[in-house]
Amino acid sequence: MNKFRQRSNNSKFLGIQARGFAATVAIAMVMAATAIFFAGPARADMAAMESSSTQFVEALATDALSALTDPEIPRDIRVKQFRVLFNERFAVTTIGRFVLGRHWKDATKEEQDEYLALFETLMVRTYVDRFEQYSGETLEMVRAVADKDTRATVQTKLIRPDISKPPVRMDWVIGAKGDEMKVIDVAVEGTSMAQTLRADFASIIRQKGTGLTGLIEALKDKLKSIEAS
Amino acid sequence: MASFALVGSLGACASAPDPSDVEAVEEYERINDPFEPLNRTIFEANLALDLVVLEPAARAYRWGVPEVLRVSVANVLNLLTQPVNALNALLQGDLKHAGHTVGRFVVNATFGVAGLADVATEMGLPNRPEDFGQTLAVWGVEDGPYLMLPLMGPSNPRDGVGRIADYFADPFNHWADNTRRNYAVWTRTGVDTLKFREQNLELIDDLQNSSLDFYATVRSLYRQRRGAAISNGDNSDRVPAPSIGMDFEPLVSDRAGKASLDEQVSSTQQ
Repeated sequence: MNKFRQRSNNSKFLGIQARGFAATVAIAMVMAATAIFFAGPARADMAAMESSSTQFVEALATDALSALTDPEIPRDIRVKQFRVLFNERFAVTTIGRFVLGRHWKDATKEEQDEYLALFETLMVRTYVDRFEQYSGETLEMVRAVADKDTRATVQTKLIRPDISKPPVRMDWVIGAKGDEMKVIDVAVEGTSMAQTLRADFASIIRQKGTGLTGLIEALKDKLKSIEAS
Repeated sequence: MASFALVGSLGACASAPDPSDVEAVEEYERINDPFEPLNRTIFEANLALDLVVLEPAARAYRWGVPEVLRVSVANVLNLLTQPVNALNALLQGDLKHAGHTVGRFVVNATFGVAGLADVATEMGLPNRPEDFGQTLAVWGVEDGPYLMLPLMGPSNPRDGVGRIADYFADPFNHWADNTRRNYAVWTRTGVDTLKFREQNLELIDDLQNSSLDFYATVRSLYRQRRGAAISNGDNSDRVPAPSIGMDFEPLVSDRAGKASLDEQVSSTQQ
């Protein structure tokens, strides 16, 4: 009697365990299915973003070199060529807005448009000047890391022909919207172009104390002095 | 008269913003440069000195010294930094990097013929400087207000203390002191400065030409560079967070898409 009872208890115990096991398997299957449905494609999208953003940066380097470093082409044509490329490959409005920070929303629509046009001109001139010093550097892709399926950081190394100079680390932050991709920031040795410009412009606005108007004046003066030099 | 002006600027502090303007107060605190007027005065003096002495000297150095020799000079200077580098790696608890640095020192001191050649980098032991300012940061010490030091350039209390500590920890300085070769310390500092300026001739020109406020640009760059050095962003596997904030969706349509720009602006204003 006692023995039987004990056995029955045992089987009951085993029964509970078996049911528990079945439940665990079921939960695991649901979780796996969920993972396949959600995480699976998301990870695939991240990987796709990583490889397409790398291709994007490689193409940008090739195209920028051909637009900017041909000595046969006169400088003003090179500036025009690069302006087209810059607007096509860089998220100019996004960067310009980020750089302005809190001062963007305080400005009128006209001021915003005037600022963006000046910002774009300054960026184009700066990049054209930078490439004037080009002497055979090459951009080597290191790797790309997506933090979501629409944004990735492509790490690259700028290899300089002069052996006394170590390679420069450049990180390209690439954003995607639909089929389009654009550069949203470039970080050189850990220093972000967008952050640096933001600090620069904010300081001008603070000193002049006239909001975006003061910055627009400063940008005009800067462009005039660049033209003159 | 001149000393009067100096005392005047010493007393001046950056004017604090209107406390009711929350965004301005937040910006003021983030910039953390309460001695801005004095810092700017020192910065101007440093730039004037650079224009008259350092930049011409760096150009002369580039023009007069063949590249192979300049490479060797840079390599020897780098070798001398490795003991302090290894010590700081140890203090940061980074045994791997401490070993890496000792390895680098041994390889370059021997196979590199007293540091003239940088064999270690080719062997996969690239240079990654660690200083006591970084060590303090790893220990949780805040950087404090921005400081522009005469001759030495951008700093802050934490990194300034770090420089002093590194100076006293450096076996080179002890050797020079014990053997009454103080000139060796000055020569090393001088050549190091010259080397740095020569390597950055184009970069500094570019920054001066492209920035609106060179002072604010340098301040931002200094902080970002220190941040990257502290997190070892140059070499570690950790990817830096994209600099443009999380709420900032890329707007790809740009100039053509003014409508979507307006949408973005109104959505961030809420």
